[in-house]
Amino acid sequence: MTQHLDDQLLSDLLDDALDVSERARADDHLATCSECDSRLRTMRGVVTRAATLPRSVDVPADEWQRIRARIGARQWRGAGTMPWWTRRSALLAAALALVMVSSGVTALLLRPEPSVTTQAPPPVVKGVPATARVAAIEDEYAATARQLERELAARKHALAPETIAAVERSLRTIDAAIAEAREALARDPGSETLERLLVAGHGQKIELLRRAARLATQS
Amino acid sequence: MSLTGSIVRGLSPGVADESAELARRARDGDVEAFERLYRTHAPRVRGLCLRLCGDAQRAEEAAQDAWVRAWERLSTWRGDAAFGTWLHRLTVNVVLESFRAERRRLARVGLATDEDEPDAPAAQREPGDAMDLERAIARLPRGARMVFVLHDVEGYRHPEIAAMTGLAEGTLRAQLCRARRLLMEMLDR
Repeated sequence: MTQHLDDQLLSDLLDDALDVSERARADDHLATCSECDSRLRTMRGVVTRAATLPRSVDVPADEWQRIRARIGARQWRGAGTMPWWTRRSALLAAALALVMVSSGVTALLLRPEPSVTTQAPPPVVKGVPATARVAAIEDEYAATARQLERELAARKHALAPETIAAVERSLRTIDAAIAEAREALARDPGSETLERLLVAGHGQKIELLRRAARLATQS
Repeated sequence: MSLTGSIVRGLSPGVADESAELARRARDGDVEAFERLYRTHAPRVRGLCLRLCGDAQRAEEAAQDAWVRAWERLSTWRGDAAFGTWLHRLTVNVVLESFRAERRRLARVGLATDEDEPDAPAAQREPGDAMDLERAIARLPRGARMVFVLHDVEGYRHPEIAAMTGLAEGTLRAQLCRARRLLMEMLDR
């Protein structure tokens, strides 16, 4: 009896990825080895079952609304015609909100931490239109925030209820500030000040989430 | 949302022509046409994301990102490929990009994804704990799951997967074998 066929060879055999001589050697072995033949049948069974799995699944009822909102926001970003100063009060509120979150528990979480490397903002790509660039930056921040939120959610039980409440309150404030900055930027897409304000808002959010997650880990 | 309980239907064969017409209208900014495309193809996109991600929450994010990306990139669909094929490929790219982005983010904080983990899922389970194929696929390490889903479930060929993922042919075959072996172990108990 020659050595048994390994799984890689069996897998390649199923995909018809062996050359003629390898194929002949495998066939010879399989003709006399019930163990390898059985393993090949089992592997083929998995592949066959996988190929017949249904391809479609149910979709959440509200998914389209969320997609529609994101598409609408992107359309609107590029369509701004109203001068940004008409939204000055909202903008001031946004800026103020960013300052206000640096209080209480949040101040503790957001205080400077020299030994820790803060997350660098996504790189600015030259030559890309401002609206597309801002959208890309926001997407990157959003993905990072989602990941940190998942980490925080998994460790939330380690934090005191009042800390959780303070963090959630601050996140709502920051989200509102981000939304205001985004709205203002949509009306004045070329404003570097507004872009910086928007990025700063995202940065605050990431920093708050990151430190809250770390606090939960250390608790 | 469970991986197994919500699988309902596939696409009917006659959707291609209608989708092409809707895609042309959506390309011109018709959001209602895009919504009809969504209604037709969303279950398929969702299923693909769910299997590639192996996690309902990530799949939800990926599916939404794919549809937003499709809207933004509709101008690149030229009608020479079926809209469904184009959308499918775009969805795979969105998921793969999210994997890469996550890997970069984790690398910044010194963590790794499960792509390089040893083959633990089957070994951690108790004997006799049989599971269905959907759940077993979801438990595969990411790299193996990705290649298995694209090849054995979705029917992409090795060169197509290599082009999409950037994996060398040998790596791809090794990941496929790894996935099949782990699945045999998980399903056999």
